[in-house]
Amino acid sequence: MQTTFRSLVTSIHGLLFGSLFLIAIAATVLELLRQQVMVRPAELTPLGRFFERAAYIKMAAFGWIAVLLGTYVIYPWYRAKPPAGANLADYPRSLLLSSPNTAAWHSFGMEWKEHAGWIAPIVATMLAVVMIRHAAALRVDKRLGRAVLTFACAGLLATAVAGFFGAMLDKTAPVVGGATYTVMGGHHG
Amino acid sequence: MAEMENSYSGAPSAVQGSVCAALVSAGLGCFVLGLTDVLADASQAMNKAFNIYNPTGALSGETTLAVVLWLVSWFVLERMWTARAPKLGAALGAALAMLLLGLALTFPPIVDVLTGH
Repeated sequence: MQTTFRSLVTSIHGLLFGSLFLIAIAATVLELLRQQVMVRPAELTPLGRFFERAAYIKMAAFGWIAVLLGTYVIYPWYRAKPPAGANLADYPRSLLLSSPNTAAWHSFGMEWKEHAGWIAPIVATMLAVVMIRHAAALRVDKRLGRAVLTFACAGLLATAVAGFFGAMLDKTAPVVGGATYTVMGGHHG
Repeated sequence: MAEMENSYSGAPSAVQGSVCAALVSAGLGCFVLGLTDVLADASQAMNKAFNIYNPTGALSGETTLAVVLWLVSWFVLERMWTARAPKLGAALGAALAMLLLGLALTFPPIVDVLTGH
C-alpha cells in the first residue's frame, strides 16, 4: 500500500479538513434552520455554550486550513507547466486539457472550485463570529436569523461545489508526486 | 436572557448594527472575489496585476484583495453601525445581493459570457 507525498497532502486537504468543514457548515445550517422554527429558544448550560462556541471556531478553522492548503500548496502542483516530453500524469491541469473529453473538468470544474471555494471560509468566519456573539439576538429577531441562514446556505453550496469538483478532479487527474511512502506490504493474488 | 428575549420583537440597535456589519462585509468579500475573477479573465493586464504569488497565479491576488477588503470593511462597518444601526432592510438586501452576485460571478459560464470567451 503506497502513497506519494502530494497525494497524502491532497487527502489531508479534501478528505480530512474539507470533509470536516462540510459537516460543520451543514450542521450550522441545520442549527440556524432549527432556530427559525423553535417555539421557545433553548437554553444551554455553560458547558453546552463552551462546546457550541468551540464547534463554530473549529468550523471556521477547518475552512481556512482547507482553502489555504488547496490554494498555496496543492494548486501550484496542479497547474505546474510540464517541460517538453514530460509524462502528463504528473501535471494534472495539462493532462485534463490534453483531451476534449476531460478539458471541461479544468475549464468548468477547477475554474469554479478555485473561486467558489474561497466564499466558504469567509462565510464560515462570519457565521462563527455572529453565532458566538449574537446567538440570542438571532433567535429573537427572525429577519436577522433568516439573513444569516441564507449566507450559511450559500457557504454550504460553495463548499459542496468545491468538495464535489475536488473529488472528481482527483479521480480524473490526481495530484501525485514527491516522496513515495509504503504504508503496508501486500501479497499478489 | 429570558427577560431580554421577551422584552422586544427585534434585536437591540447595536446588535442589529453588528450583525448587519458582519453580513454586509461578508457579502462584499464574496462580491469582490467574483468581480476579480471576471476582471482577471477579461484582461491580461489585470491577470498579471493579481499574480502576487507566481505558483498560484492570479488567484493569489484575487483572493488576497477579497479577504483584505472583507476584513477592513467589517472593522469599519462594525464601528459605524454599532454606534448607529443602518436601515435593516437595506443592509440585508445589499448583503444578500452582493453574496448572490459574488456566487454568480464565480460560475464559469457567466464569466465566459461577461468576458466574451
